[in-house]
Amino acid sequence: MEHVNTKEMNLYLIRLGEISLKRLNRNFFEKKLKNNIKLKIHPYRSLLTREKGRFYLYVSKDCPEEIVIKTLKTTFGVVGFSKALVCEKDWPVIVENAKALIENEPFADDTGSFKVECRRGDKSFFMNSYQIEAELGGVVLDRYPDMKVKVKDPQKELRIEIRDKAYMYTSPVPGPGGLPVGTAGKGLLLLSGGIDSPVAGWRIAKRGLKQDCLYFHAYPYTSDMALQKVKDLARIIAPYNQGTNLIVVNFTECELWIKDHSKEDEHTLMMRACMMKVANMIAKARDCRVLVTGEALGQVASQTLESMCFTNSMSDIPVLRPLVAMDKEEIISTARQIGTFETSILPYDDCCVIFSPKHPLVRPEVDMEQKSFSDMNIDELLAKCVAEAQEFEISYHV
Amino acid sequence: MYYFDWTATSPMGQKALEVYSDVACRYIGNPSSTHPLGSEAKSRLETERAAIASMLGTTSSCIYFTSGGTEGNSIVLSSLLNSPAPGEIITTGIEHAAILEWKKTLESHGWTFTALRCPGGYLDPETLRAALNDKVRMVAFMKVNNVTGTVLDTASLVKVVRDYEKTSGRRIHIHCDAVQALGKIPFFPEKEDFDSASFSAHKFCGPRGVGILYNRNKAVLALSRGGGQEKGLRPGTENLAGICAMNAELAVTLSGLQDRYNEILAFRTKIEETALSAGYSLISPSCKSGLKFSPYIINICAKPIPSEVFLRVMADKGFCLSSGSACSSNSKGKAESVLTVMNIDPASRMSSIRISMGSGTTAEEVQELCLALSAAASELGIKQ
Repeated sequence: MEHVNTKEMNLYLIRLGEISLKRLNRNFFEKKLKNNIKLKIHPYRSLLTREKGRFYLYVSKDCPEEIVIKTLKTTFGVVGFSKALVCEKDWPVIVENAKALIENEPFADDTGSFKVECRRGDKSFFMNSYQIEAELGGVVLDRYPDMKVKVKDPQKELRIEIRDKAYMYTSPVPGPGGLPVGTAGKGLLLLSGGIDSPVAGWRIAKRGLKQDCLYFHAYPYTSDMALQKVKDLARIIAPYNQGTNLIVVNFTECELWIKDHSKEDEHTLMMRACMMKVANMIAKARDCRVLVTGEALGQVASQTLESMCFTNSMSDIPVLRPLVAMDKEEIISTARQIGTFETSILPYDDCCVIFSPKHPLVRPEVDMEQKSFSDMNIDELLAKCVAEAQEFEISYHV
Repeated sequence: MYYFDWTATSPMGQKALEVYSDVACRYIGNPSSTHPLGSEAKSRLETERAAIASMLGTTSSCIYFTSGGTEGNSIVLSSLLNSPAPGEIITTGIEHAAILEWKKTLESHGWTFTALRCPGGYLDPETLRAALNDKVRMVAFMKVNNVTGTVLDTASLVKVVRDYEKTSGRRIHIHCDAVQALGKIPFFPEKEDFDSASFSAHKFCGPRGVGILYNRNKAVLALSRGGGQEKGLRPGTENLAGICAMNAELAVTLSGLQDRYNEILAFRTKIEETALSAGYSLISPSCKSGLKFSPYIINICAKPIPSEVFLRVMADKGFCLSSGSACSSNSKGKAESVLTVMNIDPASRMSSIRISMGSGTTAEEVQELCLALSAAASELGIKQ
């Protein structure tokens, strides 16, 4: 840490949750997290060191604070973070720094209770801990008169350590938690324009799975606005996922083929079977070891247990369904939290009504549907879809 | 691109453009100013008022310049709120949003807002007669429907109201939204015995943001508050260049009205025949039905393809068409609600396509449209 010119850099303390419990492979997780954070802050200079189960993140002062905060709020593995200031042990300077620090989260919302906690390692400092706490408490109250002092279990804390220098930081702003993206390998997310699939991708990214995204476009039956909406959704979840690649498959010919070569009540099932086949081919070509979908048990006809058994039978690789046991309300609440909800509900349908049967098959039998699928003779078209797929790279930048 | 959305708006005509720039450069004064340049502008404004009055078969005192159809309708309907006690307004369910959207406001002030059903796009005079009662203060209906082109039998409808007045002894204000009529079919509000009628310049190649309100009822009051222009009914500095451009273009349009009508009727007949033989069905009345319709608008049904999809396919082929009216094609359900009131079945409503023509439509464009409609029908599997 000595070689860092801290004067030119802002300091943040990062708290790590589950990672600190790891033993032999802790290094692997920590290294990934460091890289994930540095990558997002790049091209600004940053440096990460580890001490007592925390990360110390130094970021060059020309990097806008907003970027650091957004980075830490969208990087899985970060449980919480706080901005820290280091200054000379000169009381007026300490007060100025304290004032600057409380302009940030979590103090900036001007509500709730707080306390100031001081540790005076350097006993030669002219004020004792109690005096420092009382004085700085006054500084906070001058700025935020509506806040209340509460010594036991406050909502916010301003902490100061008087050692070789004065170190100040606040109680942590919550990060997203989870495990660093990339530590669990790579998967392929079937992303529609709906509410569920972005949430599914986000939830499984939280367990460290990096994902590429796959969208089935059926122009002119679905509009280019629907495609734009999916790109926007991918852009919203991309920072959490350390960036992603959106693969767009032109599915129009397949949809029309399915419509003409299968029974009406099987259309949706056959369409999903085709999507699984295409996803499998694309996943294998990109080293994705699992598929991820936004299905929730019983939500619609194609998400019954029987339908899921059938679509599973169309995939050679595991299909993860992070939302399988979640209610719509719970899914919507996460969608709001991660900022995808408003985009998801834009009125550009991701499937045209002419491909949706009025009475879809709800409890299909696997063997029978597999036969229906092979009777369609659609393999050649599916291979063509894969060959002609377009790819869009979506940045991890916040 | 081939433009077939003239009902939504039309491009400004050559005459309108010339007059606009000429007047904008020459008459720089505010008609309300007392200096010579102001007086000059005022005098031109009154000349224009007399000109439009004569084109509409009425007198200058009944002509008010507005910003367009929506404002004209709003001035008339908002006036109801000045009545000492709430009553009832009867209108049709096939009106433009500029009328129907007043429902909420009027109802919140205690008014009864009755929107009558119009099977096939026509209001049966008997339906109106049955709806009239002592509470009714206003009846409002359009001349030409903007979604299907049906022409309402205004003479019979007005007669029903006037007959009722005689028995009840109470005057009822009759308003007509004639936005799709002026410049397309002969329309004279005074002769038809309307108390008020609204018009919009950009529907007949005039500039956007200019319109006319014909009104002879003193109880109609201003919607805005301001400097007393237009006898206080529509305050705000008059858009003199826009007004002159509108009048000049309207004069051109009216001079060739009948020839143009015949030409457009031939185009519409051709589109209808092509559409029917290609597998589309008609939502507008057929040319052969004997019903009254404006040939400038034809609404067809592209079942089973949703209008939205069909419009994309046609846009890719280079054609600008529309589903309901342009004012409501962004908001789900609006255009459909007008078609619902016309008793059009749900599947047809979902696939409704409006093709509309105007003074600039050419035979070659119609020929291209017919070819494209046939091609789209076979590509998309359209069937009646």
